[in-house]
Amino acid sequence: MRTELLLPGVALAVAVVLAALGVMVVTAQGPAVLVKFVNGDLPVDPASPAWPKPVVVPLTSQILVYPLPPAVENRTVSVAAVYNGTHIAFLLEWRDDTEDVARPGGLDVFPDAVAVQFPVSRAQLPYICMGTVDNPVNIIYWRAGVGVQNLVAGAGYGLSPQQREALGLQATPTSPVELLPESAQVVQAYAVYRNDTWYVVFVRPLGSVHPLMASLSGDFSAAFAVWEGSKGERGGLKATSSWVQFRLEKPTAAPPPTPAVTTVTQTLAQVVETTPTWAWAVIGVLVALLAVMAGLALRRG
Amino acid sequence: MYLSFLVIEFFLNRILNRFWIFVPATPATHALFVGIQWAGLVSMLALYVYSFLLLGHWGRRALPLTAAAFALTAMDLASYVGIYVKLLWILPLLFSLFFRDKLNLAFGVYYAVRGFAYLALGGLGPYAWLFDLAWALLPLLGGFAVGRRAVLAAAAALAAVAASPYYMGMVLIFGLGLTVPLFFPLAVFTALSSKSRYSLFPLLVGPQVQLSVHYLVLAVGMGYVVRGELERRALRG
Repeated sequence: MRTELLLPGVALAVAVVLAALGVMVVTAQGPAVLVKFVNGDLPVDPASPAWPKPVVVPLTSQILVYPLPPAVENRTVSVAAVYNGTHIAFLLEWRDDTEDVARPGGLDVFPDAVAVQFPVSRAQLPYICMGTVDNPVNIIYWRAGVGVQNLVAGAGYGLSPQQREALGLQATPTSPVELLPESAQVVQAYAVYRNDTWYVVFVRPLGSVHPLMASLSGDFSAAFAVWEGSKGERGGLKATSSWVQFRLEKPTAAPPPTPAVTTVTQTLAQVVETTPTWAWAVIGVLVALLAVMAGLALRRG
Repeated sequence: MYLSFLVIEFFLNRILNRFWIFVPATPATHALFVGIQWAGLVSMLALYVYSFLLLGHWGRRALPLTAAAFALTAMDLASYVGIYVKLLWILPLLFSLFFRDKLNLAFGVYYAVRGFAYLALGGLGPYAWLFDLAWALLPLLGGFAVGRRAVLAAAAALAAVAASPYYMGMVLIFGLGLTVPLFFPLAVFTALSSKSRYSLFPLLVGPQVQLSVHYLVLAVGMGYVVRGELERRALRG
C-alpha cells in the first residue's frame, strides 16, 4: 500500500521540478523528412531528378459545411525538400481533380492553395493550429493565381504597438495571421498543375531575415495545409497535417557558399523562449537511471 | 495509479489542450489554458518518471526489459543532440514477448509495424485509416463482454463526434493521430468491452504514437496489467 502511493508521489514530485525547469525529456514521434543536401542551384522544376523520394503526409479535412466528405477520406500531401548553403526548397504535391485559379477581378473562384508552417522558436513546438501569442508560427501561404506570402501567426497579440512597429508590422493587429514586412517577403513559388495534381515548389533562405521568420538552418518541424477550391475550401476550411520533422542531411561535398542573406538570430525574449535542448537529453537519461535505482531501492525497503 | 496518470495526460494534454483553439480568448480562458498546458506537461513527465520507477521496482527479473527501455530511451533522446536512432517503437513488442498475452502481442506487433512504416516509408499515406480501424478492433482479442459502461461511453463519444465531426476531427487527429473520427466511438466500445484492462492503454495513447513517453507507457503498461492481475489472483488464492 505504501509503495502504491510512494511511486506516483515521487513521479509527480520529479515531474513538477522538471516542468518548472522547462526540461522536456520526451520527444515527438512522427514522420520525418530527410532534407537532401545539393551542391549548387536548387531545383525549381518538380520533375527534376534532384528531388528525393517524397514522404507522404496524411491530411485530415475540416468539415464545416455540406456535402460532407466521405467517412474515409484519403487526402495526403507528398513532401520532398533539398537545401544548399544558402537556401532551402520544398516540393509539395497533392491530388486535386479540378484546377481552381483566381483571376484578376474575379470573385467566383476559391483558389486551390497550400501552406507550410514552421515554429519560430526551436525550443518547444507551438500549438499546431497556427501557434499562440507566446509561441508563434511562420507560414508560407501560396494560392493559385494569387502568389506566395510569408506570414506570421500567433505573435500579434503578444506584442506592444512599439514592438510591432519595430518589427515592421501594423501598430494594431487586425488578424491573428499577418503579412511579414516587405523585407521578409523572400519566398519564391513555382507551381505546375498536371494530371489532376498540383506541384508547388517553395524556395526560401535557409536562415531567417526577420525575428518572426523561422530559421531552417538546423533540423526543424513543419505542418501543412491544403485547400481544394472546388470544394469551397478557404480560410479555416482546409485539410491539415500534424507536425512533421525535417532533418538536414550533412553536406557531403565542398563547403557551402557564403550565405547571400544574413541570418537573424535575435529573438524577442517575451515572444520566444529558448533553452538548450542538448541538456534535455542528458537530464532525461539521468532521470531515467535515478528512477530505476529509486524503484529498486523502494522494492528493497 | 499508473493508468490514472495516462487518463489525466490524455484529457489535459491531448483533448482539452487541442480543443482550446475553439474557445474564445479572454484573460480567464487564457489563464485556464495555461493551467491545462502546465498540468498536461506535468502528467506527461510524471508518466516518464513513473515508468522507470516501476521498471526498477519490478527488480532483477525485469532487468532485460529495464535495460532495453533505458537504452532505447537514451537513443531516442539523442535526437536532441542531432543523432537520430528512433527505435522506441520496438519496445512494446519486446515487452509483449516477456509478458506473453494475445492482446499484448497484437498491440506490440501493431505499434512495431506502424513505427517501422514511418521509419522506412515516411508514413502510411492513404492506408493510415486501415491501421486506425485495426487499432479500434484489436481490443476484441482480449475477450469480450459488453457492459453498460462501454455502451454509455461509446454513445457519448459517438454523440460528440456526430455533433461536430469538424471539432472532434481536429481534436482526434492532433491528439491521437486518428484520421477517421468515427473510429473513436468504436475504439471506446471495444476497449471498454474488452476483458483485458490493457486495452485501455492503446485507447488512451491512440492509433499513432505522438510522443516517446507513449511507447514507454504502452510497454510498461503490459507488465503493470499482467503483474497486477497476478497479484490479485494470488490474493484471491
